[in-house]
Amino acid sequence: MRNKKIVGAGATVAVGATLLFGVSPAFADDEESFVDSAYAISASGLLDIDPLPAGVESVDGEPVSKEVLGLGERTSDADADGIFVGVLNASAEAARSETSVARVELLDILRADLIRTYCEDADPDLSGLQIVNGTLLGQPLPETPVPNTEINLSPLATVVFNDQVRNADGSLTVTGAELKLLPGRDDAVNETLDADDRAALPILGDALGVDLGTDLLTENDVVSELTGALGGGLDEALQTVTIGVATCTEYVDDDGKDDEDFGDKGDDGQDDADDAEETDDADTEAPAPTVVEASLPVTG
Amino acid sequence: MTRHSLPVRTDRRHAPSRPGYLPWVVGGIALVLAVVLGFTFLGSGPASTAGSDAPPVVDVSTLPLADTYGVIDGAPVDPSADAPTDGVVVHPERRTPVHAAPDGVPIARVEPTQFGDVWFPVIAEQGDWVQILLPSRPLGSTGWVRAADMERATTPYRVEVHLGSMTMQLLRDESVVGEWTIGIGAPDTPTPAGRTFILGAFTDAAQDFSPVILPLGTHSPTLDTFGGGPGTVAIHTWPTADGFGTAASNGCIRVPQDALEELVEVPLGTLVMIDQN
Repeated sequence: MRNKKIVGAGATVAVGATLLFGVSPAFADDEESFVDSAYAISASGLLDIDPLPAGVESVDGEPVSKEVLGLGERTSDADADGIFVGVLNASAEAARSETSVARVELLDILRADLIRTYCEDADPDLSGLQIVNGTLLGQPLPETPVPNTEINLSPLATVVFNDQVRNADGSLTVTGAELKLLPGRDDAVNETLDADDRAALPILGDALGVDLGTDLLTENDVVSELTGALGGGLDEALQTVTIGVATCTEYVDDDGKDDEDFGDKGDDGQDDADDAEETDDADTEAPAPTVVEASLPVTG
Repeated sequence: MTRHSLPVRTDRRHAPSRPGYLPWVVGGIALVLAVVLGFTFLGSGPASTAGSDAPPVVDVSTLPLADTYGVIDGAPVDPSADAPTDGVVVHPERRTPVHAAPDGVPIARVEPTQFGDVWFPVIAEQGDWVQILLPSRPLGSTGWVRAADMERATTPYRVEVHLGSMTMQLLRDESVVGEWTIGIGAPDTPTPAGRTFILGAFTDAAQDFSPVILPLGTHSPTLDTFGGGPGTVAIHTWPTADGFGTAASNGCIRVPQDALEELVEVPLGTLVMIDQN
């Protein structure tokens, strides 16, 4: 693999930090501040990267947006080992946040023309992920992955798309894509390595500065070697790369009440359709259990 | 914190044919190194606190998980332990906090799966919130969750367990469709009375007294732990006839095989009402 240096300029441009005092009496009257926020990329693990763009946090509805231009070196489509992350955008305002990364080329693991993560009104139906011309290991990705889509590349790597979590304060956090390397050392999975895997171990070792031989047989063997050599209790994933995190609060109108219709784009009849769907759901019989294997001693 | 293994979630997951993955791992690490170099060049500082004095968002993952292993301090106690519900059940569509009251303090979290998908019975509703039975200690734990985070459905069934007569009735649309003599907990390890629900179904080679075990959302009132587990009460069958019509178990409900075969077809979240009659 060619060693390509990221040479992108770090031009951070604040394009819209307009402070609108008194835009909504409800905001001014709230005793507790609320924050909508977004960032485009972060990493944690062996090496930590704080979220970028930094500080895109809308306090009580203050619109904020930032972008970071051009990270990495653009490669041709045929060049599978390039690293390029295009324009990083993030914006937040009252009850809305959004972040996008244009032209993502993470080697040939994850490539896309655009990854956009958005959150609105703390409503899962209005929030989500858009991937334009995305591929994972060369396989096409859906443009709008359903929430919490997890793709297990192996016990050594997983990718989760459109993970949505309700926060304790009622806000919603959408994580566009999260790649974890060596993610599952506490899930009792210990997959045996095949010949190709073992042959690649020295290369993996070189990347980490750890001597890994081809005689390691399982994932846990690799983890043990890394844990000893790196001197850490690798309780978390070895490395996590996150693309797109958007957190949004629930819209509050001038009377301080939740606005149930917030986000509807005019009277297009969609409300009625949604209501009908909810009614149908309520009439649906819940599923019978699927019998799974588990280890839980019960009071037999 | 208790560690346990639960089944791997399989819904909404697809696993492409597994490539030789280590090269990708190598590539990923190299990517990280390169990206870090790039971002270090940018000189980015901490972003999470930049420009804001607002209180931090509470990380839901730090709240106790309301599963069969969980102990939820501050959980409201079931206010109507002897009343049937209208059969509404809900399934969390995402990791969701559980609150002590509508818009109240968060006390726990629920996840979409425990033994496969999990469904909770709804015992009350208030505005955009629903109150659900929790499968955690203390006995009778409940909590409030946002309806918007829940898939909603119904179950026409209800299971009634009568400890005094050692009988079980299966009702569908308020009509009895099955009735059996059962085994219950011994006097010093009683089966707890109250409302609970069918939490899932599993097989366990280490517990070969029943081909399938139906864990409930309740626990032994006298055994804090049992066999390494949290004292979960379950419905299951028993290999010998003396398991029925006797009070000899450690709290579980022993049912004949034909009862088990019917109960495994009952929807998740179906209410199980245990009384002293």
